[in-house]
Amino acid sequence: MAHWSKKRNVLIDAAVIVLVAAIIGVVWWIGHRPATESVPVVPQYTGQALVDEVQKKYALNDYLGAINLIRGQKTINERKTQLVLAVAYSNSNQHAKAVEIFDQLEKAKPLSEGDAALAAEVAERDKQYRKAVDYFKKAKERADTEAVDQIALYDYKIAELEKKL
Amino acid sequence: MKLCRRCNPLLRMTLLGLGLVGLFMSIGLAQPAKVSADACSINGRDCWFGYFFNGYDGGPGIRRNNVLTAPALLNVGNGTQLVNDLWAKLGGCPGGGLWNQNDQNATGAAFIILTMLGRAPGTPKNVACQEFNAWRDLVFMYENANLTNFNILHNSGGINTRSTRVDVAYYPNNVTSASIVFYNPDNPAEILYAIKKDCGNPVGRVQPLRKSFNLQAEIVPLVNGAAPSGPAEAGDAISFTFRIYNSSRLVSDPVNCSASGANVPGYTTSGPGGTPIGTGCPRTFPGLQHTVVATQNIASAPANTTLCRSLSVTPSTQSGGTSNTQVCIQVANKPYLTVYGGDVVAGGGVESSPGACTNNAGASIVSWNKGGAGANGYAGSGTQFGAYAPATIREFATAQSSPLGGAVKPTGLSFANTATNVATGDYGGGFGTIPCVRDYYSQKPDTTIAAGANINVSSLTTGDHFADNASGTVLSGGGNINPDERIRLFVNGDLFINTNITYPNNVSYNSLPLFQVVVRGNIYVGSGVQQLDGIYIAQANAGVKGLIYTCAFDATPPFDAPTISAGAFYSGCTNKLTVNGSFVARSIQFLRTRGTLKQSTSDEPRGLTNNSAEEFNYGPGFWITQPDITNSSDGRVDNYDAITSLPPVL
Repeated sequence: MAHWSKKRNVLIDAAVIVLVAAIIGVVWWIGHRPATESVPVVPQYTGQALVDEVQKKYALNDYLGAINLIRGQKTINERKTQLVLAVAYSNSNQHAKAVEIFDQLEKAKPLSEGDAALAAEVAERDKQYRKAVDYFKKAKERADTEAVDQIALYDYKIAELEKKL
Repeated sequence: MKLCRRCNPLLRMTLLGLGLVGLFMSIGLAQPAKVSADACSINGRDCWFGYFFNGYDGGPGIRRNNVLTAPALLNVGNGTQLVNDLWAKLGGCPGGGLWNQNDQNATGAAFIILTMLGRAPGTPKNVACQEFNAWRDLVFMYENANLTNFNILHNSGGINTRSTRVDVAYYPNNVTSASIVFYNPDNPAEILYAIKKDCGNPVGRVQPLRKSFNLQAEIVPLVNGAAPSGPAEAGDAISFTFRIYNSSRLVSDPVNCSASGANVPGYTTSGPGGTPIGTGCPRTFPGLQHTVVATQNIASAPANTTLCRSLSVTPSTQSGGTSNTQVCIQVANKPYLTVYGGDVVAGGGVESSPGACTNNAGASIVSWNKGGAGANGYAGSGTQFGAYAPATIREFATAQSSPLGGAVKPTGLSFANTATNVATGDYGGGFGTIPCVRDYYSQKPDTTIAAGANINVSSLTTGDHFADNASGTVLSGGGNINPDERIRLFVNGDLFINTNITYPNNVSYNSLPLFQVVVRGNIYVGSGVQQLDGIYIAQANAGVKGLIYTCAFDATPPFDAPTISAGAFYSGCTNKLTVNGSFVARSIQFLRTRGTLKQSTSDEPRGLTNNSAEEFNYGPGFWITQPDITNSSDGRVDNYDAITSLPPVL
């Protein structure tokens, strides 16, 4: 019986320790979990219609409204919508956030020539000149070799940005 | 079909139908190029076809150039830089044309300028040089109106442009990049024109920058520095501000505007153009602004006048039209009446039996009072004592000239004063217990002294007189009432009083006279009459008439009620009417126009020094000589044995 009693006590102690540890863990997690941004409830648009609505808000200098509209789309996690969001961040002078999105998209799948040039433009606005040069180089690599004007443009931009490095 | 030689007809038809459907679907699927062409045609050319020469640029399989070579417009950050950049690309337009018709940048610059101006496809490149200044002015106009953004990430909306160096064509392409955009002045949420900065490509639907203005002529009148809430008074300071509002964001073209003014006698709501007033037009009007083109100040407005001012602007919009406006301020006297020594009661019905009558629940006392603002608060119409009305007492003060510690004007003796709104002119009313009015006409004794149709009051003697003239009776000639005379005049029909009727200036208390007129009809007081002493009663006849008009002109029976025509009252009723006694009537029309509210002062003393149009002075002399005769068997005036006066318990 004494042996059983001792074993029982050990089991109880272990259970209590586990329970307390679990409670502490839950409390810590609640206190340290990443804050979730509230997603606004907005009208839903698809494709070009979303871009057009966003540009109307730019015209009225309603950049915050544009960002909220994009973030409230059910397609927010899609690549095209993320690109629209990056542009909105940049137009609202939140260039760093925009660059972050471009970086994530580039990492997931290489950006097209035009989007790489757009990422370079945004990086330049954020004074991340090295990154801007890198993106312009990627745009140049991905450009049609016959697009001589465009390649000349990228060369011009790269040369201008490298002066700032 | 070989497999189906032995098919039944239905199966053959089915297969044939399916074949045809497939054929049509194939045709439909073979239309993407057509769809693309439609996408560009909103800009006046199908996709791949050049703006200048309408040549096919090779289509989607051929690589073409940017509209402008690097760095294109990357270094453009404002309107001036854009203008200078394109001017340089045109080569400065030597000889009024492009420096080189086949140069890529010159062609691109011409394309941008011409499409921003809305010139149709096919316009010669050199026109860009000829209209460069107009284009430049438009760019600056839009920039000044904050209708531009020279560095925004913008999406092309599916249409881009490309160059063959000698021409520029639209083509389907969706791209987002740093752009220069111009917004619609009439709808700033709409983009009219956008240019991709890194290549100089106009993108999207290119709409011309257009001038736009929308002008509205406005005249702002002020009366004593405030917006008028009704007619102005004589002596008021009136100003007119003539201004034009441009509701567009863009400055207008130089336009004509004209202002004028006319002072029209009497009352009107519109007037002629009148005398021109300088405006400084033709001139331009900035967007979203009021621009004052003239002002006019009138230090003291003339009475009985309507001041009309007009303003027009032509053209009022880019496409023409005229905006006109006219403001007329009527300048009128606001006459007021004052009552001393007695109360004012409205709504009492004529009694049908002692103490029984049907009151008029809608009866009100309505006049003009200055209200509480300023040093002369609650000056104007009012009574020294109380006022009773079952409906409203509007701008008629009570307790005027009240002694210190007494009832407080303007509502202290208003019955009732439990629900007033002095700020809006509601000085009381809603009193439920209005005393009945005696049926004075029924007191006419059986035996009376016959009076004619034209009565000289001075010749009347003590006693009850009776005039029965269906068309009307006139009091004219003398009007002196002598001491000890106690005259009652009963009139069946209308009465026109065309003479002053006065008691002696000084009389002993035991020689007080009485002049009481009881009319079953209307009483018209001639415009020249200035003093009436006595009691004047107008009773309705079977519910009709029973009115007293304090100013009338037509002394020839049958009398016409005065009507409002241009200036009739103002010019004809300026004599002050002083009534030493009282009026009793179904309704009293106070029509005298002497003085105006503006001239009134607080607690004005009675007499000729005040500017009231009508003044009533009541006193013991009028009831001492008017004992209750209803119980008198012969209808003669009796004498009091004693009189006790106690203050009311309120």
